[in-house]
Amino acid sequence: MKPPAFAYASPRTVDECLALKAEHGEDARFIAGGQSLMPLLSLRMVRPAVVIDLGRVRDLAYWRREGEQIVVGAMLRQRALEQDKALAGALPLLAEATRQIGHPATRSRGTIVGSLCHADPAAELPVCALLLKAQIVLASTRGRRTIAAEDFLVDALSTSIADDELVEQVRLPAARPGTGYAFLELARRHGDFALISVAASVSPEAGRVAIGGLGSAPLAFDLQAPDFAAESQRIAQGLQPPADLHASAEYRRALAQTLIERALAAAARRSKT
Amino acid sequence: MNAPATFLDVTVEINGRKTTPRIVEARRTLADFLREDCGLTGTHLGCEHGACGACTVLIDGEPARSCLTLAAQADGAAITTVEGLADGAALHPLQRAFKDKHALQCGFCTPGFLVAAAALLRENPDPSELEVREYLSGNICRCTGYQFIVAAVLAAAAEINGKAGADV
Repeated sequence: MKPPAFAYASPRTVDECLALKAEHGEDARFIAGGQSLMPLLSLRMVRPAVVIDLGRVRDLAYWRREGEQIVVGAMLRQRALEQDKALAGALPLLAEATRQIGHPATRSRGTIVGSLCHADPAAELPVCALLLKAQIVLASTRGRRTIAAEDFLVDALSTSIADDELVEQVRLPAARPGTGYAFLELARRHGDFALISVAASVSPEAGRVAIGGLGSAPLAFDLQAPDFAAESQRIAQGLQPPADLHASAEYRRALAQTLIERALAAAARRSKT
Repeated sequence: MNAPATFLDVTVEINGRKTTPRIVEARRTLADFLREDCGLTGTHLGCEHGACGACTVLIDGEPARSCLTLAAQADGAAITTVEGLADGAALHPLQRAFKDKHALQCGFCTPGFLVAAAALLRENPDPSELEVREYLSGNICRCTGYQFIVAAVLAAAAEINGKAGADV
């Protein structure tokens, strides 16, 4: 089906974006890569009056290192994690997860920030953002505020963004020596949304996992002990995964336990190299 | 900056040639722009929601689903469609290989596969079978079972690697 009629604007600066969004509020949607918004428009599940294209705002198409943080602008494409070795080296977890996202033709257009804003419960990047305790920078004509990924990712397809806000950037910790990261997921077919996905980080002092595919916002857990088998069982037992046509709740819970244990083991191995 | 508009001028470069500006609706997808406004019907519409890959084109050299792109987003970009692969009457090595290896039956998915494969060989001129399958996993075929498509891409790669200066 074809998208419903809307008006289109292509601002060149962040301030122009914010002014448009302040004027039109919830009647305007930003389009970045369009890989999530375009299907919604084509299926007429959303009917914005205005679509604001971020694609020509040069000030959003960047990544940079600021001390121990990697700052990713709203228009950085997912493929940058495959094609830019410096970025992949600084964000190895996202680089590993991005190989599971869609297909080359969607990753060449889709953006990292866009995936976080869409907040699909089975998407990979929100899980990574939650694991890494990413910071989301929201901009509006009222100013800027920074919130934790945990507070941004509220529910399935739902974030705490306000009607007049743009996610300008996401800030993530750069990989540190002595910490290993791993991302594992199981999907029916390669490139599909995950039944369950797990991101893990392990260092000599701590371990942390984040889990997606739960039908809600992703969940994160800090390890209480270095016993990966026991901890993966403890964490999985506490999950309430959905049952749907792809998998039962019991299957997802069992899958989560297995993937958590494997991801922790992989992250632990990598922390030693 | 211009206020939001429901109709826009769109100019693109397609297969190396600049189009005349066309006035299109803001909601016009790049796929429909190519097919309806530019008369280039080689790009096909399979699902119109990004799942099948039949609409694959190159935007500034990168593979993209033209059904998930607005024509307005592509204004000013360089687009490559399946019509841009052949050199006049001379088929692109991928097209010859698809023909020789029986990599098409109904042909509906074929333009998407050809453009995606062209993008692959640009990025990775000597892919393994696994890399070919991985890269083309976003393109769906209902007829062939993919075996001969993979063989055709590998054959084309081998031929291109034997010849210097092959373009696209």
